[in-house]
Amino acid sequence: MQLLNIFRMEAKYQLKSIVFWLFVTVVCLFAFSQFGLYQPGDLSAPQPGQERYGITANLTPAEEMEQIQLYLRRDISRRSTDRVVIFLNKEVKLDNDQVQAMKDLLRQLEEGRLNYQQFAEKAAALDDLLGGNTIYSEEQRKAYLHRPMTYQEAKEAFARRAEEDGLANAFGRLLADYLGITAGFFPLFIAAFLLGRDRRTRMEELIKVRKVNPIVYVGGKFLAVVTLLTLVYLLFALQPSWAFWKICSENGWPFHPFGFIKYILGWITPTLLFTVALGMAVAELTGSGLAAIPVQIILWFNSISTLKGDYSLDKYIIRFNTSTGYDLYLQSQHAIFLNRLFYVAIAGILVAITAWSWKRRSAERKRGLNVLGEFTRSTKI
Amino acid sequence: MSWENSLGLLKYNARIVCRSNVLVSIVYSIILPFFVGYRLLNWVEAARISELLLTLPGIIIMTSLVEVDFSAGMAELVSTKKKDKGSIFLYRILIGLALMAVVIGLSQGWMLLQGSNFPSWQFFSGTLVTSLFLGLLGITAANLTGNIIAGYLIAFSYYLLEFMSGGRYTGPLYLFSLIKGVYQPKLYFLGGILLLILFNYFLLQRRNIS
Repeated sequence: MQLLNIFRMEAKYQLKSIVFWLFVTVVCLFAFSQFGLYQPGDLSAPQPGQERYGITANLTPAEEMEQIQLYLRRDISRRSTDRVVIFLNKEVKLDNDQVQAMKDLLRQLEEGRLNYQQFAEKAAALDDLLGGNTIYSEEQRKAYLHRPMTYQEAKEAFARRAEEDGLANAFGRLLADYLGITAGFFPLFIAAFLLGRDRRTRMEELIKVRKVNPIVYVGGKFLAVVTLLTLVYLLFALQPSWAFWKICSENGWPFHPFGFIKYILGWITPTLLFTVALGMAVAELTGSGLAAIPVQIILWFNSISTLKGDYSLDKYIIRFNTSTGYDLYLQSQHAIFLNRLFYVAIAGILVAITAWSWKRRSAERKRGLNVLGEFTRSTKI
Repeated sequence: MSWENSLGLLKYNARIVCRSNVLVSIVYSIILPFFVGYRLLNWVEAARISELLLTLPGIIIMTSLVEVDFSAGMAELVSTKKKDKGSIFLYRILIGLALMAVVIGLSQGWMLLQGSNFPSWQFFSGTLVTSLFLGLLGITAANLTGNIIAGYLIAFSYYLLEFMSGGRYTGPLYLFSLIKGVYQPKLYFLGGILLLILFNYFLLQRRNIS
């Protein structure tokens, strides 16, 4: 049937396209440089007498309130606070009202007059007053406040990770984090030029003769690209799966064979769906593939700005930059699931919009409009 | 070539290369301050914005400068008349350089007007070098592969690599050295830029039809 034909044609084209293979190379380089290459024997449980055991963000409410006091004192004395804007840490000067609010909160904390619930509310309110994205916000408190681990804690944490969580799962999330960063940006170079290509090479006339349904046409290409990309990303699960299988069997830890695969499928595929759909949509709506680049850049910077824990609906990439965040993962499961559903839905809507726009554009071309536009936007791909 | 001819060729090229790429870059530069805020930046913040954000339009502008050569319709039209592909390339570099200087200069000027503080000439030239280098990477990749999207991909990939690794793999030749307060690497990159320009010039000249 038509959809299958379009799918196959597109898939064959991509496999012969230099851009596609460059994409694969770039993702490879990135994955290996960030995630690394694990070999059997790379991991072992923490031993007593080590100098450092890492840090933990698992603070008791009391510890959290204590640490915030330090931040408050620092900010009050220098009359400024740090706000995270995109990926920048900006030092922002405080006005008198803001300093006063900080002093009030600090005094209440020092006098021990707040329970955790009240503290959380006031801290969030302070964060709002400061314009958001400060250490006082719940996201940053949970993500950035920490203390060193003791040997006992480290030993327990490691056992938990290896036995309860499963190393393949834990590192699978980390790998998905790194891969997600690439999946949220580079596919646009394939996506944004997907539809324009046929237009430029006059394939369009051939296609229209056969009266193709715009949804079938756009959808077929979309599915072909997304399928290929998903397969590429799934390939990255092979080496780590093998390596961790060895590591786990050497040390007697449980191995979860689908650890790496499931996070790639669950977290990365929706990102791919969205990125490709968005690239196609922007290119089709604006008539310029280039316009998709800044749009994607802005969304991308926004999405990768928090390292973990933030799965609000403006984040189309799932970030989970740790192999030790089992608790965080358990807490965030619902949020992540909803987020992924949301982006799959959005991708579907974008594909529909693209199909509508493509149909309109073809109609315009038929009427003889936009002919000059063709020359200024032609590109051999 | 006579003076009038050169100017005419420059203007002609400017017209055909300045399209959506320029528009997109200008719009980007205008809305950027609303997202990031140019007020009262110290030199580190200004360096981050300049090196990481102001150089991005450069990739788009420069790489798309060669797009016309790749167009299915235009290629025949232009190739048969083009006896001097190398020089045309040089004109395009000049145009790209001018556009980037405008984007970077106006943005940094706006930062300064909003009370930011940083060494203006060094940051201007340094950011321009970074931008030019990334743009030339894109152009070179596009010319070598015959595919302009490959050009964008390579240029952005290099940007991403440097961005994520923070100079771990390139050491003294870290692309965004202004963030670390070091200007010296820019001189090396300038050398690299000249090398790339020469390389592309000769590569394109060899494709001339006589």
